[in-house]
Amino acid sequence: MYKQPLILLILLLALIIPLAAQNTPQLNGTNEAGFTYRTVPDSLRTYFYNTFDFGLDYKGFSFGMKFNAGLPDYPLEQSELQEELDPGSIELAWEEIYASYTNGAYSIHSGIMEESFGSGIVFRSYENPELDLDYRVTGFRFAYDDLFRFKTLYSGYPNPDATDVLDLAYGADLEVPAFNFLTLGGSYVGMQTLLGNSYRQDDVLGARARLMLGFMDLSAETAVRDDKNKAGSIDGKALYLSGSWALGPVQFGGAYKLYDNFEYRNRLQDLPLANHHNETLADSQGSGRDERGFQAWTNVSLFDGMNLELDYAEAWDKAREKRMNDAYAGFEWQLGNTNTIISYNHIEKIEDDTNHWQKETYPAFTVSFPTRKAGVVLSGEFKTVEKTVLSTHEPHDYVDISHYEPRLQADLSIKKLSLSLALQSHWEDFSSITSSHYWPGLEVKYPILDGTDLLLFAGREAGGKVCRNGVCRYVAPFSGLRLELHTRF
Amino acid sequence: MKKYLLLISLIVVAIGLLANEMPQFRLPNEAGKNVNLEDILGKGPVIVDFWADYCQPCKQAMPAFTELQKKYETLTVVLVSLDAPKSQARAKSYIKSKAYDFITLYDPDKTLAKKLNVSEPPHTFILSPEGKIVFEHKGYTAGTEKEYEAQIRSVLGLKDHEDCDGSGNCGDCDGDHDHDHGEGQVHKDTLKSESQEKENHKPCTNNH
Repeated sequence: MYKQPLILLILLLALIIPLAAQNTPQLNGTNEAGFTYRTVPDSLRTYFYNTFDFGLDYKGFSFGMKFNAGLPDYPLEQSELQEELDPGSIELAWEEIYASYTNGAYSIHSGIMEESFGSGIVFRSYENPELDLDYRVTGFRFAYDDLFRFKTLYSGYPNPDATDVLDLAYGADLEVPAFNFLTLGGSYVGMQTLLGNSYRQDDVLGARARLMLGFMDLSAETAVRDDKNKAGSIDGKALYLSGSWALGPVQFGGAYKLYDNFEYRNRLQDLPLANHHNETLADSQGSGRDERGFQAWTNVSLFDGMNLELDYAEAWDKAREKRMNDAYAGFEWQLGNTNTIISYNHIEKIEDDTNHWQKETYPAFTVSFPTRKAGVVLSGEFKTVEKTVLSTHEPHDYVDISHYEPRLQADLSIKKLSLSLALQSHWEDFSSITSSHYWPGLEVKYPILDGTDLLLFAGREAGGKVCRNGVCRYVAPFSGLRLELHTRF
Repeated sequence: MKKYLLLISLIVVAIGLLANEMPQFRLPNEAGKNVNLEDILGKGPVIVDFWADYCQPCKQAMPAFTELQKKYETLTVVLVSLDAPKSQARAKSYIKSKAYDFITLYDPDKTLAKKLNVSEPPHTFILSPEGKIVFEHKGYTAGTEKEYEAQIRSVLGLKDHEDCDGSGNCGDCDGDHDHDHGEGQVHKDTLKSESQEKENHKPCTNNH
């Protein structure tokens, strides 16, 4: 059994060594090794993991694969952690294999892939490691990209309910420049998804146009869906319009969306949400099911490196039982090497049918400046969350509650050493400040070699999007100590 | 076990033999026109910076790139957006609102990013005019641009400013030399005449 990796290594060497004699072979890859100690009591408090991946490029030919020795990624939801951290879930396998060949405008690809048709309404297969999302497909793709763009693919992907069953997705996309200022495109995607004991056939047709006139950029995309199964056929439709205009230092733009029965079961799409915070209409349903909305924004370049951005969006469903509004106001000032951003954020969601209401508002700031010996970034936000929930005293009564989520962070980079110290809390009210939960966390990053970073995190973090030590990512809730060694070659 | 160690050693040696060059690519710019690697090479050093609209440190790096472009006229800055297709309009508007003079490319399916092991923006590469990757850096904090400048100077064969390695004194040194040569044009002028730069260069010290 252990001969398999040995054979793979020999094959790899056989491939690499002859290539080394050539002019420009490229071998790149990463190795991520980690040790984690979690203070949360469960079956697996301490463990190691390692992932190694490489890609080989030579004269248009590419090949790559990844070896994963460890647990599945942390889920972002705390409630899923216990199950995911079962020692039986440890993976030890070569995965994510691909090979491709490019010759001028033509390319063929086989294996795991990411792909987009248009803006992602009709088809998008992608991975977002920060959000722990993996909607990549495995299959074949042919593409031509020169006078016009054409691509066609035939692929499989794990069924959402039974991961040992492969569903099918296939389609083609064509984009043609009609004039210098106008581009037209069209897409077709067919999907076969196993649902119960029968397959559901989805056929989607899309068309799009983009007009670019220097000061103005307009785009329109529409699609229709014929979703067939034993019970019959359901029609769906999607429309997304967007535009922007630049008038000297002032830019303004807008967008309109309409999605009706356009939510794929397999998630192989990425619908534009037409609001600043990329929020869905309601947390209880996907965007494609029933959603309409508009967005309007402006961006004004003031004097002395000052910039003002305003953004407002609303969304609703057909019956107007679900509604949401989203607003953002940001002021940025770049003075020499000092950058200051002050912003106000607002997201409100209402669901009349379930008596749900939630509003989040938060002012935030970020100041970034260099000192004589260090680079400094200070940031913070003060989130106020208000919502309606079922009363714990009266079974059918609803009550309004609120809490605060303050967060402060300081990042320091001294030569090659980067430090980030953050403190986050959850206050029920101002009188409970001293008795509230606090999440202090420290991350230290140091490049011990060229292309090799050592990262140490100690403390607690509530999870979500964090930007620290110059990099932004989404993190899962965590408490404990994590030591990681990231190598790139 | 010995077999594994031997094989791993051989792989490491083989990797060392391979060239560290920018891989070929073909990506659309903001107007949808394709840009190839050859289109950005040959003029001078190149900064290739992977960014995304949601990434604040990425945006903080952009004014520094502009400053470097002003100082070194042969420098080309290429921004590669990792934004999803649905977010590209916002990324384009941001670049337009700041009037940045960069080459902006879009790689939503990470075809180039994967070849360069880019997973989280910002991730910056500095290339020689021939396309060799001479420097790579992940993340951006204020002051990182001094490291970039030192690398660009090295590519151009210019003498290092003392402490231009990110320790924080490079800016002061630059300031002094700007005064020496007038109007802050020292680098542009000397790029046209490298030998003159080498002659005129004075050592920077912390006492400036």
